[in-house]
Amino acid sequence: MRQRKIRPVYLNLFNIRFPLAAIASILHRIAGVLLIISLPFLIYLFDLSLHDADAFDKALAITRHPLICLYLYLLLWAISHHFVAGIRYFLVDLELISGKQASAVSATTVVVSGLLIPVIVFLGTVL
Amino acid sequence: MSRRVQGLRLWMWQRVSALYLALFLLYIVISILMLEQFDYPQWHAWISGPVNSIIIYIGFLMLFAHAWVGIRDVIMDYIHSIVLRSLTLMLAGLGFMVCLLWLSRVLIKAILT
Repeated sequence: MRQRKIRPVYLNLFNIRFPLAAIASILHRIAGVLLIISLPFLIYLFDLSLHDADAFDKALAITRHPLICLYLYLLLWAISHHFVAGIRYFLVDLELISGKQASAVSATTVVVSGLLIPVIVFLGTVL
Repeated sequence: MSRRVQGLRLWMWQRVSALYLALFLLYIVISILMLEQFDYPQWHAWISGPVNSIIIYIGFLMLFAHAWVGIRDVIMDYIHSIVLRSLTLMLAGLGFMVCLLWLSRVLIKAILT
């Protein structure tokens, strides 16, 4: 109990080291929820695209609207992150990733590659 | 069946569906990239092919199994009020059922036309 009194009373945010595995994990959840919430819109697009040729073009036109396009890139990030983070969980389950070092390195890889995939797709469509 | 065993079963479902969905996602991306042209006839033919439509339908079922276990975990972790929790779980379940029926209709219609 006495120990508690000498702890620093200020809160230095830079001193709080949030483990990268925790960031990858919460992003995995956020991405999952985002994808679930987007299901009705995605099913709507899927439905429209299979009606006939005109509806297919209409669905494509919708995806080209700047705001929708931005939103779809967000969803692309979500599914990329969810996918890579999921593979990491498989490796953790199989005990191929264990220990602090491997956890941090793999979590960084997950966060970075999740962000990289939409960027690569964007560059691929622009160039 | 005890709660613990039920949890284990859900955990296993999450892994099985995740594996299927991961392979499914790769399959979709590669297949669509391999289409000569992304237009209505090719897209429609790809979706409604005999093998593909089965793979896709199983994919939808896996998607909803995966989404259900996932959202159930999230809701149970962050919503502590029993009333609110039951309500959101019910809403999610109902939403998923509507979405699955909708998707089934879309896929069956695509196969038949």
